[in-house]
Amino acid sequence: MAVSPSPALPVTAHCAGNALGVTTLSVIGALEAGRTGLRRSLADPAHEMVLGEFPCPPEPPPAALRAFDTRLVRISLMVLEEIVPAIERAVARLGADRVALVLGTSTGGIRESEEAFAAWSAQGSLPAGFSLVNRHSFNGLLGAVRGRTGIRGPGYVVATACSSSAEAIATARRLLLSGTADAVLCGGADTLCTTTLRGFRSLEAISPGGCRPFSAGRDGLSLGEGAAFLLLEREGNGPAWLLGAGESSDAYHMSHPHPEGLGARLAMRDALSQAGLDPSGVDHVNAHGTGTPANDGVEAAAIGEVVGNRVPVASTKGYTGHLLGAAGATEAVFAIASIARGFVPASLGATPVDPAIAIAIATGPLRQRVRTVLSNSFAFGGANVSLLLGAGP
Amino acid sequence: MRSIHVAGIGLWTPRYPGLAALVDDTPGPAAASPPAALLPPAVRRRSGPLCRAVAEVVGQAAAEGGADLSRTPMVYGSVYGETSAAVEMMGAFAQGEGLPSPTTFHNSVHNAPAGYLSIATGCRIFSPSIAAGPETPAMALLDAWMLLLQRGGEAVVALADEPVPVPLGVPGAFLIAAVAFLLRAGPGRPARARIGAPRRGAGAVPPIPAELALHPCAPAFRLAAALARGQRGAVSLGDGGPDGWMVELAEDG
Repeated sequence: MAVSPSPALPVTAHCAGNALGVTTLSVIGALEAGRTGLRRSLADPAHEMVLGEFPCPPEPPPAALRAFDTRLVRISLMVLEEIVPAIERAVARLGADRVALVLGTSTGGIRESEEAFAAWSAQGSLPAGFSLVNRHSFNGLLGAVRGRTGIRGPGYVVATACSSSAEAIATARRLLLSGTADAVLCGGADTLCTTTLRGFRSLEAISPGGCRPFSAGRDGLSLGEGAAFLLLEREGNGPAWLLGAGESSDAYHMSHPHPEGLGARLAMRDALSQAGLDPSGVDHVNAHGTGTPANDGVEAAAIGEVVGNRVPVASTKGYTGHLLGAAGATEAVFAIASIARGFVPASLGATPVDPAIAIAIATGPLRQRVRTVLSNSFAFGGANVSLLLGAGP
Repeated sequence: MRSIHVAGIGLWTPRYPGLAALVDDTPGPAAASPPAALLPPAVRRRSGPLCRAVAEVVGQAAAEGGADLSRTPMVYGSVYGETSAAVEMMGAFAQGEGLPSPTTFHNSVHNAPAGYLSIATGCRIFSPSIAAGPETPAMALLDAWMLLLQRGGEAVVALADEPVPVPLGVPGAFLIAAVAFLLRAGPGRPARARIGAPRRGAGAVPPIPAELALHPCAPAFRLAAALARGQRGAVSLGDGGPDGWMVELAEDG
């Protein structure tokens, strides 16, 4: 049965901040120039590793939002600031109740909870200001962003680990297409914390020298931190449109991908189907591409099967590190930049490409017309999301 | 607009063995752990207590409504998630260079119950995992309502929280408890009620036992009690006030 394509939704504002820079302009400038933001770090004093740390100390939130003060909230509000005027215009035009908020994060305020636990272990009491509700829980991020923007529509955090903010964008699409909201601020944020630094180390998934997705020499991932946001609307215009958001579950393993990439293929095909787009119409794939031996091989095979082996594919984890809950939205912003500026970023660290990988990894930057980008995000629990962004509806 | 029907309910708490006990406030002997028969033994052993509670209530709701869980996505809502795993890891970190076990690490992610259930049921439809503070039950129901509008069929909404361990939580603040609603788009076998989309507004606040009233997902237990009593009209998913969220319950059919 033929399926009618769903309406495309304009991205009317977007922003990203991470190891590449605090503003979207600086982030995209570094992406185009092929500069990495990864550096050696002792963020975990017990283990030196290569990380994508936020490039400056993030500023505290305004006094009225101090109850939510965490590194997550600081980075989020600092990055969000450049599109606050666009959000305020949407709130004024549509009404605060018709603007929704869906954010993705995997760790929330757990960095502050770790610090609080350490203080309690050492001194027997939690630090002043620690709040389970406002700082530890995901609700703190919601409260801070609501407070800064005036959004009063439905609001929730989607937490599906590394696909969280991609799923937030997929959820925003549902809120708009169902008529529940007229605009949705969606995106995500995550910070470096001991839980993820040591958790991924326990999985033996951390690269000693920095991630090299799709390379023959890849030996693991690099973690990063940052935030990215998109304002999606039912009506309007922008540099890019959300054409589809495919979702699937691997139903296979908590932390390993399905060996044949079944869930990845389902998500990519779902996105294409929603847009009514033939796979030959995809101009570029921003891969999940974490740099672990197993994940990249499975994803490459799945991409090849869905869109063929000639579409240029890049992983941007070599620039920012794996941003976990912020990855999907950040890479959606990269996809928008590819469309708006006509380039495919180099897949940093990919040379020499693993000979077992048959897809066209972009080992250098490509200048070309990019009208559609598939952007993949896969996660623990087999939670897969593939976003399809395009130059027009 | 499609009509959405509540086709099944599942409930697990250590003290109330079923919906009737919840409605009548007649606690039974304390139960140690949910059976979670939905999970294969190997998965059950690796999963945490919150995940097992979710599996138990999803299994109950699906059984009542006759749902095929291999084709039924779950919307999972929890205010705090599996904090026992997160705090266990913090204890290891306080020992210096300690690393968590890989299982504890992946059990700490918010979507661990969704992952484990998808493995158990073979369902490859995406199952969202969400949190929204006190609005978590309302937002989970809204998310499921939108999924049903998009895809049709059935979806199960599961809401659960476990006590937050010391030192982050207060001992005895609330007990582990979970509740699930099997929702169906369109007509089918007889259901408990039709349910509208969550929206802002005032509604009744159905009574529930005091120990569940303190649970972070208390409005979901109130909704289960209302459905079990055959209550109709606006039911609050918050404190009953007009700024909160509510749903309309109507006769099935």
